[in-house]
Amino acid sequence: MSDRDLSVVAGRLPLKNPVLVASGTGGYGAELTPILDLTAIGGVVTKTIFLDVRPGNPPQRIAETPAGMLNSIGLEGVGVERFLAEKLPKLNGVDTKVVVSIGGYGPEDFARLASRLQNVDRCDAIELNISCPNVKEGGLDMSTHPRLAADVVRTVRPCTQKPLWAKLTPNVTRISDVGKACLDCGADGLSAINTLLGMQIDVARRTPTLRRGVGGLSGPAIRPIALVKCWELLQVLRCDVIGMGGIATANDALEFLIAGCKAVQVGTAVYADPDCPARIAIGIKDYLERTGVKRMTDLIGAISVDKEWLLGPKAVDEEGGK
Amino acid sequence: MNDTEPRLDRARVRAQRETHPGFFWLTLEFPPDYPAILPGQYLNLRTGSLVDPLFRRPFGVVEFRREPNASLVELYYGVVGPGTARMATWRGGDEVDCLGPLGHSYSIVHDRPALLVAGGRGAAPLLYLYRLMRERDMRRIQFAFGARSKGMLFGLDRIQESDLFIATEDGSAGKTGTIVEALKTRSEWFHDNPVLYACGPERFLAATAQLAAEHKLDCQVSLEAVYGCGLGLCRGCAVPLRGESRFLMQCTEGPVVDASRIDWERMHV
Repeated sequence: MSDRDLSVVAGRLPLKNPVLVASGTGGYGAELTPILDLTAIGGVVTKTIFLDVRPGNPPQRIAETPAGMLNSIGLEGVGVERFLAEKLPKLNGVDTKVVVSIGGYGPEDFARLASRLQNVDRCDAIELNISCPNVKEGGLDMSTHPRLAADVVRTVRPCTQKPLWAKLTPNVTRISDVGKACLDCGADGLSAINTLLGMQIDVARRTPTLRRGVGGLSGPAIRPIALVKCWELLQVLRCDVIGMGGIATANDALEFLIAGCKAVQVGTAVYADPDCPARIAIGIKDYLERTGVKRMTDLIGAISVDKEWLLGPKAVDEEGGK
Repeated sequence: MNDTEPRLDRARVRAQRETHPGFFWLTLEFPPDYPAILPGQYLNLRTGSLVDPLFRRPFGVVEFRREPNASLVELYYGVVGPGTARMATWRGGDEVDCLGPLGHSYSIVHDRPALLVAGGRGAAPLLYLYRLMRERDMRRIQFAFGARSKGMLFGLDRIQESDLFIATEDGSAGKTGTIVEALKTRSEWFHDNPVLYACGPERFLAATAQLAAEHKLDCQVSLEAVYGCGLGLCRGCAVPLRGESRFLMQCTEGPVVDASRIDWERMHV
């Protein structure tokens, strides 16, 4: 047995290890249990729920891309009442944290959902999905503007004592502006990143592959972008970041943790490799043993940089690509 | 009987042969206690690294049988993209990361005649279905097999000649034209309330479904789509249903679906 302590606290949520399943990729949690031992990971973030039932977008909803995928699912979901009655109870007694991802058409929807979840014991934390690109209703991607993001967090905060994470879009010039707005209004942590906008065209049919034309790009292809967005948040805001974007192996996860993320989420890789979150957790522990690090928290942010040459936070967007 | 929980296995390639340029017959070995796979159910195979291609590739099985020390699965596929191109390089002894068994199978209606309608590679699960039906001595089974040309037909040696009806688009075997058009000349097969069991490309399935609807016959179709996961997680393989706003998830609620439930108009642009 190893004496390594993998536990972390991310955005006020204590986790036995820093690996979670990302929202939208593990269903409502129980769907994964035939393949993945949820007790081997820190937690699972459930598929975003709304107050109402959402059928989602018509097909085609997904497309495979180089080292990634595009999706335009459209936040299909069962709505909060069925979620609480049928889905969440399936995780009762499972020794893992449950972060409930919520979505809405405006701040009041988020507030009503957070209030509804306040006394639900199985909900250990709330992730605000203010950044999904795939819904028809205008203005739903509230994390593209600091003021809109702040409105959501400010309205939700008084409704819940549970840890609150705001999930940010990378489809902005400076993600730290939006992150700061969320933190100023009481967010405990920032989840980053949601998908990047992308497009694919079916040349034979001369039509976009996805019915809605554009979708969200995820998978290993986006990992370096995800990492630099997290890096910017960490450098500028010195806050708790839950990092994600293309993580498929322990090595990938370690990049985010060494950069300073308090935890990581594994998303798209779960589709192809449904037990990989557990293997990633084991791989992280192996790394700690191999490198003589006793506690996970000793590794978080343990990046060494050449301060003379390192691009500063402001320079990240000004000099990117040079 | 469709409620087997999926599992991850390392299958072994027993044999693979190219039966027609770009078309392969693959035999995989699983442990002897592997859950029985039913006709229409599928396996989701990893064909490369997690990076490329990212998705697994789903295949309905052509044959499933037990040996004393192994469960054997036969698959038939054509090289159509990067995933199947990698599969074509597999050799005997190679290990394959396999998720399965997945999905809902055909439901055999024993007391009614069976009309199996195959479009190209879609014959794969129907060959398995046919074998089970023959073993159960069902009284009338017709296997209608359509393909672009003679070389695209496969597994014919597993079908009794009197049960077989062929059409090729180029006329190189059987009737000339699509199998659905050819079937319209065999109206006697639509008597006695047969059940249609179909598998093939989407347009072919839509045409088969329409044919069944015109004759007021039950029709089970096995759909094909890009699957992100096979477990109902990604919600990518949505099928529009008639008179319902919700979508059916092909990977878990299908791939075999009652054709009359599907809203073919809304299926694709």
